[in-house]
Amino acid sequence: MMSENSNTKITRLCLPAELDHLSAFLDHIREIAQTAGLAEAQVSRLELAVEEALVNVFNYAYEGRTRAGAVFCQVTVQAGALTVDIVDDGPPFDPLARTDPDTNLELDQRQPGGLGILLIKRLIDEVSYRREDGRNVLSLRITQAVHEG
Amino acid sequence: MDIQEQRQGEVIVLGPVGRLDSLNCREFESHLLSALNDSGKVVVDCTALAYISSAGLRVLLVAAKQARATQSQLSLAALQDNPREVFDISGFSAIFSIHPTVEAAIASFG
Repeated sequence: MMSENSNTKITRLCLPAELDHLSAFLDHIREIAQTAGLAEAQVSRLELAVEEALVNVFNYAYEGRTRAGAVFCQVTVQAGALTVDIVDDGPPFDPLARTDPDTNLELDQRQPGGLGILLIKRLIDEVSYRREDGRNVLSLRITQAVHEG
Repeated sequence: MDIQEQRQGEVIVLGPVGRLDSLNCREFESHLLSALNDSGKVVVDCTALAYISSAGLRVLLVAAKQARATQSQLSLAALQDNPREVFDISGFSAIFSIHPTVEAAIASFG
């Protein structure tokens, strides 16, 4: 689904929150980001951040439910910025509230986990979480190197 | 995923091609852990690795811990720009032995 007004273009994709659909989401994001004129390095950062955010939703948002919920991905392209909102209707959960892993530890002290959210925070210009209409919304906004128009 | 594998003397060189992500990390994990079991000296050749997510990082961390525990040797070679950025953010650049080429990685094993 696509809607346009003046210089804002919004695209939405909604699929079951399952790993089987990861590629469809990432292909979708990559295509929009390339069309919007993002530099290849930025496209790659965005794709990685979206993978991390989606996998978190796949793994945790609908834990304990018998049927997979849905995840909703909305991309907004404006002059100078591209925003991806990742939305689920699981219980309230702010992934950004978690303490970052200590990346200075020696190998023996390092434990797997927590790096996905850290990567999102470092690779994306602006990251925010909000609870809206009973849903979790993680918003990833890239403000640099987006071509105008 | 496509994983190139070759032996150079007693060293196993594994070359994951393309993406190492949530979809294929299990497959790479089993290759890497069996290579460590088989040889005890393993180089992951990252020449053709364009993309790595935290799922791929997890596999490398598990393998590095296994190598440490079993006194095996694990090195990485030819890390490209995108994975390098991910390694730097994660602190993995400091905990892995990373070499510019496969030859340099093999030479580091002594």
